[in-house]
Amino acid sequence: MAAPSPDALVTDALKNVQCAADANGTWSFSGTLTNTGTAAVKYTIAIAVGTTSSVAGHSMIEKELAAGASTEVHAAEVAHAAPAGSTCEAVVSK
Amino acid sequence: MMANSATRAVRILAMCVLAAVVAVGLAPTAATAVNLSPAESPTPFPTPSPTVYATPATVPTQEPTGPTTAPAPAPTQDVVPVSTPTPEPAPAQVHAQEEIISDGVIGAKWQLLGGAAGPLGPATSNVSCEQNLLCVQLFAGGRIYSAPSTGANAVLLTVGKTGPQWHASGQLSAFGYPVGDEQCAGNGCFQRFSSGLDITWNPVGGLQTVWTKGGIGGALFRFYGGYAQAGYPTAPESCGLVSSGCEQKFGNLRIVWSPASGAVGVWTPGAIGAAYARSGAESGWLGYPTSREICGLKAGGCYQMYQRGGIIWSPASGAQTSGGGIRSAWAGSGFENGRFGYPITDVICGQPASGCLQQFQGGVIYWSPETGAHGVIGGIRSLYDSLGGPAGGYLGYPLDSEVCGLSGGGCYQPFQAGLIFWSSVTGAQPVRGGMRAKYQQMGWHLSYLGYPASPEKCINGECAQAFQGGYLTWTPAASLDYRNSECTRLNDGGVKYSSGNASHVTLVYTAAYGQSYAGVAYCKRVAGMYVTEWTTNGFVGASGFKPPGVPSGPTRYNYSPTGSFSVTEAFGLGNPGTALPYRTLNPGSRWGGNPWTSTYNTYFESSSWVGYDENMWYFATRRQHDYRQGAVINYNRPPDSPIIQDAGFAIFLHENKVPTAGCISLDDWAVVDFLQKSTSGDRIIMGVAADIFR
Repeated sequence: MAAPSPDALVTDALKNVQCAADANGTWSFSGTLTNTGTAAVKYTIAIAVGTTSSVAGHSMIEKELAAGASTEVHAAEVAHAAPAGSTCEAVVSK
Repeated sequence: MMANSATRAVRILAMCVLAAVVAVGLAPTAATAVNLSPAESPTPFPTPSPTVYATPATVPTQEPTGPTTAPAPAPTQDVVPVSTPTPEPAPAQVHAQEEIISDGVIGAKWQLLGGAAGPLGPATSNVSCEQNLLCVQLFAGGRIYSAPSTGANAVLLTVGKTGPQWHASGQLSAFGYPVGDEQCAGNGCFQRFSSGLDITWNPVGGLQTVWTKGGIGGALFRFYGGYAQAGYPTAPESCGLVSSGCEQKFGNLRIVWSPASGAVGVWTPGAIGAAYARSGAESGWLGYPTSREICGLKAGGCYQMYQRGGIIWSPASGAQTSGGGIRSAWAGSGFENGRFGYPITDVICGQPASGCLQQFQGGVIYWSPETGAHGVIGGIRSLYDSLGGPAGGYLGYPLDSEVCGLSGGGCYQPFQAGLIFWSSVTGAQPVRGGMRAKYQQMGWHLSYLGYPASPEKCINGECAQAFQGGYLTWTPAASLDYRNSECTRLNDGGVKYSSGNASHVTLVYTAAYGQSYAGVAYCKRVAGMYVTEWTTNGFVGASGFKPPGVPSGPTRYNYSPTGSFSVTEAFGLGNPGTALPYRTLNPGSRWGGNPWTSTYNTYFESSSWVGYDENMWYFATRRQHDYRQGAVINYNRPPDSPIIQDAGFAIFLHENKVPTAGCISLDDWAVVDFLQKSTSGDRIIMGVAADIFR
């Protein structure tokens, strides 16, 4: 059975994602959110840092973009002192 | 030869005898009588050919041969007893001056019997001979006959038991001349005559005759030791039995004769005789006896053969009839020396499908017109009996004997509606119907299934049967096989937690504490037994399991709880076809993780993502798609328990097979299949193997 692909998921709207820890172990997120559609859209970006088993920190960004608009999005201090091997994932929904 | 020596002659001066001719035309003689009772008869009875009775049949598989007697003529009818013997014909005129001489062998015999003072008394005629072969002399108390082949023998008129009967019942014309004196022994007397007839007497039977040249009389002396061993006749020979048969009883021996079978005796008070009578004797299905009772079998047994079967007896088993196909099957197994031993019942007919059975010490032999006769023995027999045999069971009659020598020392036996397999490990178990077809298709016991380990069990149109290596299930749609796994332990009490009779039980277990890698067995309940849907591997919390009864705690510590938990709902990005209540996630889907809040360990929706709450949408849609499909494990939540704050939350079974924060993670296919097959109330039993398995 093919995996479901809910309409609310708009992964392609987020480009240039950067999510990494600084020297102090503080994770920050940034990316470019673009509305390629023909109508305004309210986006929600969920960002989490952690290992595969648990979340060390998370953040949410809500942004409404007009049709064809694009913007840079940022989230500071998403996580602190995440376990070794943690990764950062962002999910964009509308 | 008749001697006429004057020197040995006894000369008696007597009256003149005027041509007193006896019935046979011989001149009468006279002799001196002596008192001689029958019991004191000095001459032993001519020895009949004594057949040794009870010859052991050391090889019981061989049918005894019939008596060697040539078919006898129909025995003669008894003469009518006459209580008052006709007196010896007295000389018409006796001239006192005529000398009557009794000499030769007759004279010697007369003297031996006491002469004139003996039972014969004085001679009343001289010796007369017929063609120098048969001579006779009349005495006042009887006659003495002499023939070259038999010597001189007296037949008394009033003394003894048999002579008076001879005199009263036809004498020579009925019996011929005596070939021996009256012999008395064993509470009876008899005298034999040249016709072959014996006149006998005993207190029970009185006077009787026995045709010793006939089948019955011949058998009496050839097989049964004559009167001395068998006894004197207690009734006349009687004919008119079935198939033109005759009988005569001698004490406890009843000798029966028919043209087809000859004459053979049956010991009427014996167990075999009683069994023969029980079967209807010669009028019953066995017909006439064809052999003597033969002993010396194993364990002191005896048998007697009849026209259509036999009767076999041993002290332990009693006397039982044996015949037909059942007897043939018994013979094929070695009679009483084989595994069946002695029969302990008669052949019992009236079974279903016009069948019969007979129980033996070691088993039962069944027969039906359709299947023939085949024995059932040992463990297979016990099971067959417990299943009702042919009368109440479903297997019907055996189609063959058991076949042994299978791998592992196993055996099987085919029946009309299935088979019974036996092995020392599994005992005897039946296989039938769809199970049998599938089992056969897989190669019987040679497949991974091995021998059946239980009977099939059927509930609501579904059946399951355990084998050494797995299970077969049957539904009207299909017969399926399943290999053993940890699921099997749900059936044999090997799991410490109850299955709750759930339709499916998933066993998730790690080898030890602190380990996240887990074995997984997805078990399906069919007809009350759990079979293996599939086994796979997965992960639990990255820190492993908490011990039984210890809360797993916050997910950030990555522990999984130990226990048995129900599954009552599922979630994901689209229902894959589960029967579970299914929640399709959306961007606001959250699972409460903040203790002492109203949403702790429950689903709720929110636009925010706060604290330890889980953003289910995030986990469903991120690249690793943990929650793209999943099921809620009811740890620390209803219906299994009330929610205890901070005891642990969001324990799911989900995709993304990696160590988790406390959940169970499996391959995507496994999660989808799990959801597609699960129903509300299914259970997951999880923990360290030592904590969940016995």
